[in-house]
Amino acid sequence: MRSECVPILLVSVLLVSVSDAAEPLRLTDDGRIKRDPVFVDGGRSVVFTLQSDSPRLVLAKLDVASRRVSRVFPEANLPELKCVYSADQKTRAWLRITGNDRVSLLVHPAGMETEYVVKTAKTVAWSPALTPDGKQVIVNLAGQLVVHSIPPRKVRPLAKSSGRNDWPAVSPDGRRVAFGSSRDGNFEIYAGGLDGENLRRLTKRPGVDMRPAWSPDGKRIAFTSVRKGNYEIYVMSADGRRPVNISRHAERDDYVCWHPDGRQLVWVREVEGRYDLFQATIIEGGRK
Amino acid sequence: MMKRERQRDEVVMIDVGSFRSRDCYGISRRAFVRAGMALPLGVGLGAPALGKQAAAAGPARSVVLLWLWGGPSHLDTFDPKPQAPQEIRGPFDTLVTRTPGLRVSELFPRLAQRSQLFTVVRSNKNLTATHRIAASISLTGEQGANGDAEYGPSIGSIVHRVQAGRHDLPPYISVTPGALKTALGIVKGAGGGGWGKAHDPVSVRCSDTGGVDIPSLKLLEGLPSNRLADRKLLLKQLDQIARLGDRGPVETWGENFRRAYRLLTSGEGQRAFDLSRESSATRGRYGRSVFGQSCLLARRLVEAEVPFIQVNWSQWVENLFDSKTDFGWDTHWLNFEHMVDRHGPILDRALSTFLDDLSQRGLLDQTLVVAMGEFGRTPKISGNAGRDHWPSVYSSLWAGGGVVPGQVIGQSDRRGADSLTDPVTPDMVATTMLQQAGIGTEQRAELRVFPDSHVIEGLV
Repeated sequence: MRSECVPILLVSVLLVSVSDAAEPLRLTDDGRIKRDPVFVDGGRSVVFTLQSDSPRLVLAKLDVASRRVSRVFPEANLPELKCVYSADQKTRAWLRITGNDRVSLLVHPAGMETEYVVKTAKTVAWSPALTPDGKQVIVNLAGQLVVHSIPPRKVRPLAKSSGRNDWPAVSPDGRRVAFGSSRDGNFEIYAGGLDGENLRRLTKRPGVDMRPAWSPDGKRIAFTSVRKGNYEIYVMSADGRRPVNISRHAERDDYVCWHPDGRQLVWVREVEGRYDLFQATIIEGGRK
Repeated sequence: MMKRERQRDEVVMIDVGSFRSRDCYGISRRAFVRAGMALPLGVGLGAPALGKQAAAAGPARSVVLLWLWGGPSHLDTFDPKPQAPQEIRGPFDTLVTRTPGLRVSELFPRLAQRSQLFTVVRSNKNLTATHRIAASISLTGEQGANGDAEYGPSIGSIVHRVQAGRHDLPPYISVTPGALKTALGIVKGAGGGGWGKAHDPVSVRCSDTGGVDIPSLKLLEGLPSNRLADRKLLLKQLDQIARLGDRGPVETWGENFRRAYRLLTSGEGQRAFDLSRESSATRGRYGRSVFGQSCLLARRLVEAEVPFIQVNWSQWVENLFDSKTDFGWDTHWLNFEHMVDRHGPILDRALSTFLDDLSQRGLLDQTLVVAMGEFGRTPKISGNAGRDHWPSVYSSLWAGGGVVPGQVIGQSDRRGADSLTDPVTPDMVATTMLQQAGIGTEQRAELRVFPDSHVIEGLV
């Protein structure tokens, strides 16, 4: 955090009683492009997408304590990205780039020996999100969200609209979904029921708002916003009130996820052009 | 890269043609330097005599073409249409810039802040919507003969011919992840064309971590130095290697090798290609992407007075392409996701830093920087949430080297579908680059290149 910002921020903290974050701690130091972190193993590890030489993108796992990074699928020879998990981690879904504009959605359900490729209506799947029970996966197909059951029996659209819809995230209780949509112009965050009903727009600012992530208690949503001309991490209440910039950093901050304890966040921060994972602790009621 | 093996008959093993990245997190071994000192045959393989024509002094000592391979969407970069219907304007807001009348996509805040350094042309037009052909036309400035079979020399090759021999370094260097390709084949207009491979660029490859290597010289890796010292033996060896690959016989690609080899033995080459000489902060400012580090290398090549440098965004035009994925600008799918995830931030950082760096070093005035692709993308968003090919009108960004900055040249219509002003055609782009590089009307006529074309009006 830049110290010159503190007095102004303290005032805003007192007025609206919002959360802040401590100085982020660097978790990786290779500097290569990263995206899509998600905590696993009860918060002891982070799975993320890492730029590599070959294949170009690999799924990597960081052991937070030792800082050791290993590949999730060491044998993979095609680019893979965006691995997501059910609450019990027994089901996981991820993407594999299999051809020219062909991106497959793979699901490895609980109790099955291997993964399967989800048959999608479009050749490019993007931004998968699993429900906490691992029984449904939501995916962006050509700018529209689609829900596939696991195992694959039913398919249904979710909150179909004009514009683009992306970055779905299911609430911890499995009843709501937040996502980004340009249905009203630029990308904003929306949330509604998993059935697509009771949709509500949570952000109303110029600039891209995207990649919502629910806190473990379902009361907050962290997301990326470019509303001030730079990619920053914001946290707001689940109803869209009191958004607070918790990154306040001159370079890019993006791809945020919550630690299971609900007090820490990890995101990808760009520092001097290097992309690394950083972890910060949320401080209730203002900076300490 | 960086092999150090011991073989039966070796005298000294070498590492050739590679610089490993080095920063506070890693160690570099200067393989390039070591090889340069070890090899004795540089003089023997010196540059052949070429038909040279000295260029008159132009405003641009160097031309840098930042080749945004795949065709960036003009609507999502430098020609947004905020008043157009949603299915055209897309989801991005726009930013005001320091240039009157110029708004750019919100994904380019850094460039918006320094628009006084560049001018945007909004009326480029190409002749086809096929990547390979459009790229060849863009890079050569003209259509090929017999369809896509034969092309004239690329712009860089023309500069190469005129400037050959004036510098220790090759006059035409392509910083590229590999030869430009699409799923349907290679781009044929990226080199000497009808003038022959002797006018091809020397290709160097730059990684996102700042490692640099010269593919032409990778042939030498692992060869013992006593074999390298024997020119006859070396050529025989190279010929055998060449026959195994797709390079053709030695006599056709040997010139590339010779010029690359000159780099190896040149002090200038050793210095110019060693990005580890840059501070970590400087390397970071360009961004740890292939394109960012390639732009940094281009700046070093500008300092070394290389006349024509082409930096390719990617080798493959395709955005997502199994193991070949290197994120070209061909965003038929996920156009907006890729723009916000990757392409926008990387280009904004790398290009703005490049312009700043050149400006602060007093090099921008004598360096023409052009950023463009082979065409734009469809105004109407496709059913796949992407944008398809659109050659009718698109944008390019020009800076330095005699360009009058802080302008908008040309205008597209309210949908970004066609030009409302006289189109800027590929031959005009080529002519402008050559003119600024000091290759004027008379000399172009002598060379029989673009004798009837003219520079982009109002740009320089």
